Amino acid sequence: MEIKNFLPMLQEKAPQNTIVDLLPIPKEISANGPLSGIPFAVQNNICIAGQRLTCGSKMLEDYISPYTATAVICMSKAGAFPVCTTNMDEFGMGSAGKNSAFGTPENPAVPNGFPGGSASGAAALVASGCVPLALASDCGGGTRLAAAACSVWGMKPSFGACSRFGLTTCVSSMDQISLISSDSYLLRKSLQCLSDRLDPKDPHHRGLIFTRAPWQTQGKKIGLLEKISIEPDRDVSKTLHCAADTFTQLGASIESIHMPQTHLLAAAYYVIACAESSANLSRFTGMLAGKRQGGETWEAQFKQTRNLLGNEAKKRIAIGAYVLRKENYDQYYLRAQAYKRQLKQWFAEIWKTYSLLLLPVSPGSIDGKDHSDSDALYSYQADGYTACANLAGMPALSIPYGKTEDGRPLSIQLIGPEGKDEWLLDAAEEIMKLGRDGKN
Amino acid sequence: MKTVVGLEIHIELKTKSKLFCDCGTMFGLPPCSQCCPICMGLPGTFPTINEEAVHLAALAGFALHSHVQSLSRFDRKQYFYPDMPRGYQITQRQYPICIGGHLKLPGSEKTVEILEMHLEDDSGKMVHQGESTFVDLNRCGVPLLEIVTTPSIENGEQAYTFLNLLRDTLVRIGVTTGKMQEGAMRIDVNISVHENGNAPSPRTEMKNLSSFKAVRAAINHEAERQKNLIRQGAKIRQETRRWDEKGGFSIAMRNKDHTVDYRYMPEVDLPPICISESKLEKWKLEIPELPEKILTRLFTLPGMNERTAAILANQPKLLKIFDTSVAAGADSKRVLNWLLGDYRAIARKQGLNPDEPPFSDDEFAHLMVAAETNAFSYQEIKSKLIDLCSE
Repeated sequence: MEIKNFLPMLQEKAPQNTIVDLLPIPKEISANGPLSGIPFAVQNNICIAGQRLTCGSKMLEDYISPYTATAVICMSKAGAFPVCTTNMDEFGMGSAGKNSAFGTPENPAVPNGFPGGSASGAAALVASGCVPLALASDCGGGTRLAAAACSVWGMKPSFGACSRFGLTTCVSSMDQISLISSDSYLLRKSLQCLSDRLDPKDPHHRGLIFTRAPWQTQGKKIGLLEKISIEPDRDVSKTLHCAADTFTQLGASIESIHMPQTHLLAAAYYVIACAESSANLSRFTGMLAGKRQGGETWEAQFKQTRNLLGNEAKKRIAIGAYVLRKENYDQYYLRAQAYKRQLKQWFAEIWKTYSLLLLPVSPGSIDGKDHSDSDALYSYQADGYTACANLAGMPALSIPYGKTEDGRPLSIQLIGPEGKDEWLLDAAEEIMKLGRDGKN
Repeated sequence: MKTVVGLEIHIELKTKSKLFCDCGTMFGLPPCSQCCPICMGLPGTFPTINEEAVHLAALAGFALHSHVQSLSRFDRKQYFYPDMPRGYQITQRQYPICIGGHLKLPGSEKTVEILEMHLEDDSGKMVHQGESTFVDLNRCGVPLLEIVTTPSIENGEQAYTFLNLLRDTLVRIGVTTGKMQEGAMRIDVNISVHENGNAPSPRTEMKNLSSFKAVRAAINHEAERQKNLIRQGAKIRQETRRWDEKGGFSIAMRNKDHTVDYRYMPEVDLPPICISESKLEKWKLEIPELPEKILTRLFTLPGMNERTAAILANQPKLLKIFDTSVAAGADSKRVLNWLLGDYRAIARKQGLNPDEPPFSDDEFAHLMVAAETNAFSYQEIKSKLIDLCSE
């Protein structure tokens, strides 16, 4: 296709509510980069100079970023070019994709189904085939849940693997630039570009070392983590065992393992996530960022402006402010931090024996229903499957793996040791070669 | 009744760039001409630590006999205010960079104890123009070192002496300009009164006093006010008071009955500050002889008074000439008279900076010794001194 026809095609073919803004096609595209000529979408909490940065929020509807995120610059240097910004759950808060101020994106993989969240627009757009690749973010599973719901690949790299400069983070200690693609090859190439050079503007950026030592599933020990707090449903369980069998066929030994105290996982995650979000969202007062609302005094202006936030954001700010109160700090925030440390230690022990962990992305297959209103706690608990990788800073990958009998997409998740992001892709490619997709 | 005073002193560190970004720290530029997405707290930005600020804070720590920590960490102090774009200040509450410390006041046995010193970023400034208020963010993000003393100060005079010595010390090691009028030193005072055997009275706080003299006057006045209230059997309220310098009185601003909860939390965007032991050792060696020690040493010499000692303690070049001359055998009183008296008068007359002598230590010492051995007349010495200044 000629490049000038690309944007009209995108506008016409993109599923509803996935795109926020189309971007001008750059005049020059690097011809010999590793991602040369690849169009990609950018989740709308990642800055592009001169473009709107809505973060899925009414608050930032008109906000224009004055600078471009390091991740977008890295991708562009490698020859890829950003074509649009994508819709998302407000500030990355949500697991279903219905928390955007600009509508719920349509999921091309499940008619009338929710697209998953928070990276709803990015996953749905990639699933539609309009773009092969999207930059998104993952603070508790947002990328993997959306990718699983839309039946595409979702990669959350190790904490610190990619520069976050230009990513509007809510959960500072866990948020990570992430990738969604229909293809593991693009995930690998992008990850290499993103983790290549250290960015002095992100104090947590450590990068990744790509070993090129060939991975072989043969002889590896892989831990099978069947349950985190909530029992997975039959379809999820079945596809997980199917993947386990494939690994066995490839010569790996699969052992069932149990994570301790999983009933506390989601609680610890949400205490930390809400605490950090409550502070990080304090900058949206209308002074510099945020759509300033009228009021006699600055206090009134701030209050009016912050009232533009959606319900989930308000709820999390309230929880965050509550757990950080002087009298609550020890019993909530410090306990959550203690759990996080224990979880990291548990993972450190696990990696002495196992090379990877195999687990579900979520306990339920995508039924197109939304549990978040009827049972908010269930929805939070279910996030434990993905949030464990964020709490421990580990890389995690969700892989589309088969479908239910009635055609709903299923996925599996791999978690690896910190910095071994490449292993996940290697192992995934090996089992995909055996072609289980659709034969569940 | 005993007065108990603690000080909180904000020192603006003399760094080229701000604490968490590359913006400059110049004073007096046009509003908002010195800010970037990072210090403006725009979405997607992160603070990164300025090594120079850490270095200066460590130097201050060494100079004030504090324990400089090899590991310290930042916290977020949350509250809303228009001049603070992030909605929280980045400060060090739990693990400050310097713990403990003290300064011995010259010419007395009094030592003022320091509780801790922490790094934090400054806020912007509100500018009122007619009906409107604007925010100038040039100062937003400039590094501050907050020095917190224990309540070990007993009266206004001690606070005044301490503050002078503190400023001289920090200016001497190049940590701050010490310019009060540019806000490089800002002082908050906490005062309470102890009746013998009783629990201390609630403390009152006076913020942002404009000069050391104002601190002295405010402390003395406030102590008297509290003592009078106690004598009358009245209660003292914990409150913030504003010192009216012209009128010489203080008035209550707001009471602290419902103290604000700042919802402190660790600053997760910044990794902890780690200073290696070898770096600490290296930095320690950068500390020159400091006013505190110089003053103690000078006070034992004949002919020295507080004023002359203070001049020498703050002028390293004059001090070196003085020390060289005395070591060469010249009489300290004579050296003081010539160096701080006649020489400085000549220098000023010739339009020279008296603190930057045009002669070497040895030349001056030589003149002083020769004057003694050869019994030069006053005129002879003076003309030789003029020669030295004209060369």
